[in-house]
Amino acid sequence: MCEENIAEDFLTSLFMHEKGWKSVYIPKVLAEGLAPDDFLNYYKQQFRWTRGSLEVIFKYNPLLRRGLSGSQRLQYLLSASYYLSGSVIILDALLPVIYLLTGQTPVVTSTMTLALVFVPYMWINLYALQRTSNFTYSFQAIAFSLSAWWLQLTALAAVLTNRKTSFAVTSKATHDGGRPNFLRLVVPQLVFAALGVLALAVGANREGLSPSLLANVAWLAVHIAIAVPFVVAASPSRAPRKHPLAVDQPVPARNSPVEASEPFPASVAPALQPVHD
Amino acid sequence: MSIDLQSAVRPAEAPSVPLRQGPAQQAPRGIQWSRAGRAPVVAVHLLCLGIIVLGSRLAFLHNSTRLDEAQSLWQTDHSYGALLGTVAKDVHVPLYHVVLRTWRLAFGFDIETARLLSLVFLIASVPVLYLVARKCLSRPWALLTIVVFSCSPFMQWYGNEARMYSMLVLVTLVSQYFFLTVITTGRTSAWTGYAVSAVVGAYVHYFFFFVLLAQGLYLLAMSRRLPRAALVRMAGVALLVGAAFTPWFLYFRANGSASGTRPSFATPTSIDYSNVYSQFLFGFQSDAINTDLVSLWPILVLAALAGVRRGGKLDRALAYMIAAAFVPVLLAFLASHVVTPFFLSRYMIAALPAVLILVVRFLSGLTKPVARTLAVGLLAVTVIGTVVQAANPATPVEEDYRAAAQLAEGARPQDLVVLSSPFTIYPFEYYYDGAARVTTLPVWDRQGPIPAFDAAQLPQDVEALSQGRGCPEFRRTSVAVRCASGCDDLLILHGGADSSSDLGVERGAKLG
Repeated sequence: MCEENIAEDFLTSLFMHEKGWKSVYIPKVLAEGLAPDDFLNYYKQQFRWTRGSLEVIFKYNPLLRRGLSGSQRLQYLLSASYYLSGSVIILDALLPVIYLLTGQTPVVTSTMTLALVFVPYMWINLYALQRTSNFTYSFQAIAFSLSAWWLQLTALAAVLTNRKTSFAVTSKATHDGGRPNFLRLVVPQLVFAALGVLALAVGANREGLSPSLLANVAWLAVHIAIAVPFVVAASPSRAPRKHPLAVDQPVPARNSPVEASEPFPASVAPALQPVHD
Repeated sequence: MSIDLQSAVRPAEAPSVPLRQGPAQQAPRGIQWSRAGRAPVVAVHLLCLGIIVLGSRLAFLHNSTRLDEAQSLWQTDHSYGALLGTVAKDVHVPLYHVVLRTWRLAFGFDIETARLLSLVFLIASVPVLYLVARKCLSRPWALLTIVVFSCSPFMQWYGNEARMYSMLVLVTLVSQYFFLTVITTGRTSAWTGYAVSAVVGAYVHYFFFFVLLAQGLYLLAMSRRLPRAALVRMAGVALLVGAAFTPWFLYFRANGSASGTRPSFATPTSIDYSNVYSQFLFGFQSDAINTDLVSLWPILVLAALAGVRRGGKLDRALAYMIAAAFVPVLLAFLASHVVTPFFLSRYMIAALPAVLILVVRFLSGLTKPVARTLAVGLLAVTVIGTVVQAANPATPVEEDYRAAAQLAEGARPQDLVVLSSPFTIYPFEYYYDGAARVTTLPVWDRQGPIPAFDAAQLPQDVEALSQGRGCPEFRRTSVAVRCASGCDDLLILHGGADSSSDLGVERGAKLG
């Protein structure tokens, strides 16, 4: 096993492929593991994966590895580059805030043309994601992925500055069903929400309920709503009276573009957890 | 030893079972007719009937005749043979007109009686919509769908208009019911019903062909999962529709293919496309309100994310509803760019029931508290949209020709009432009962195409009208001008015996 990177399994696979080893996917459960059972451990796990994957890009650039085939280079790059999405997400989230605060339009486009392209794209993209994963994703899983922009940015900064981070084995200790207070980990999301509310007040005071303001407020609402499950999961709660049945969460596949996971038992699921008919 | 991955454990997946419902399907094999199950269904249907009738009586039934309605009345004033001739020279198909003439002969010739026919079609659509909705939704959510449908401002508007649009909705729902039945059961009786509804629909409105096309495309997309017999039968239905429609098509071509009466529309934009769905959900609102509503479109992105759920596979009925809601409108949009523009929201009305079903289906998948809150919100927004549409004087589709007729009541036999645009003469004459002669600017004999309007030529045209009238001592000419945007102004042109004297222009009260 490669011990130079905290995402040792990912890098080991890359080295093995580089040396000419072949790999096959065996759709059988060969080993079972426990997923993180609280927000802190989930956060640490995601940070570790992010840091490790970004190091693969910046220190072991898959595109330049000689032993890899073209498709392998692309697959490793795409798999690791998912963790760069945090910068895109926060930039996108800041666009409506900038407009509301300043009245400046960072992106000028025909709004309905954008809608006619983007809305079908979103629906089709999500459906394709579900089809390829056998419908295992949920809104909560996607919300967690989209809300992880801060840890992705900090991990990117750590990689670029070569700052050392400790390797913390993800704790698998179980709790009594209650949630400790991990709100300190979602301060950036809370700051964004507060900034958004302030920006809304500034924008409304400047131009009233104009169509431009409404469109940007709608975008702001989208980003804040996406962060809700993430923040709720970090917030404290009491243990339920009846202990829920323990649910073993399989460790998500490392090379999936979105780390689909249901990190917590259903009892700590946020309000937007969809139900089944 | 090589590993045959194909023989490895397959991921859990619903088997492809032709002619059977998918695993997430909630549609029953038949409606449960136990008393306990029947009572709330009947009660809600009666509620819907009450809502439709109430809306009609309170707001829409006694409105002024609309321009298109005046055309319906004029066309159905003729005998059946002459009616077919006039419709063949128009851009519509004749079934609604034939039914309307029969209705008027039986029940009366006034505009309210004509509108009641559309109301009958709207009311008849409710139980059929329920049956279609039950293919995708559980009973409570299907009942919500028909309540929202009954309150819908768009349906209230066209359910009270003497045109074929509520009939189009009814026949589309019937077609969709049979289509969903054939793709899930393959019963011969369902195929028969589907074929009959397809032929009938083709004679209700040309847009129905987009509905059939969407069904055909859906079937092609599902062809690998359906038995060959289904595709063969679908081809048979297509041939049947073609054969049944050919006589009318030939007759239509023999009468000039509506070259003289074809309306001139602008090529649709993305705004027009989004306005279709905005009007479906919120009705005809003023530009300001509509712009604000459409500006909230990013919420649809959140809806896309919130719609992601574990195990939430796309069953056959839901997949078809998605196709029914978007494919016909998209095809019309594309055709309006490639062939000729004809993109109007009322032509797309056949997609409205599918849109409602999709919205309710989305709500039904959320957590119960959120779903119930949003359901109440949907109902509230629908009702508010209807009320605002009825009460707001800035509603863009409002037409009031009664006011025009009242303004011209003071005209004497030697006066001349001139209307512009020329086609407004139809609804005007429905109300005008004065002594003055009525003509149009530009002058139109109602036989050929309408001449183009030239504002610079207006004074000379008025002079020519007065001279042609043979009345050199005319004192006033009232000209009702209907602007392209729907505004109405009354211009009163004063003229003397000497036609070369300057014409004074006096702006009168606004019409409507």
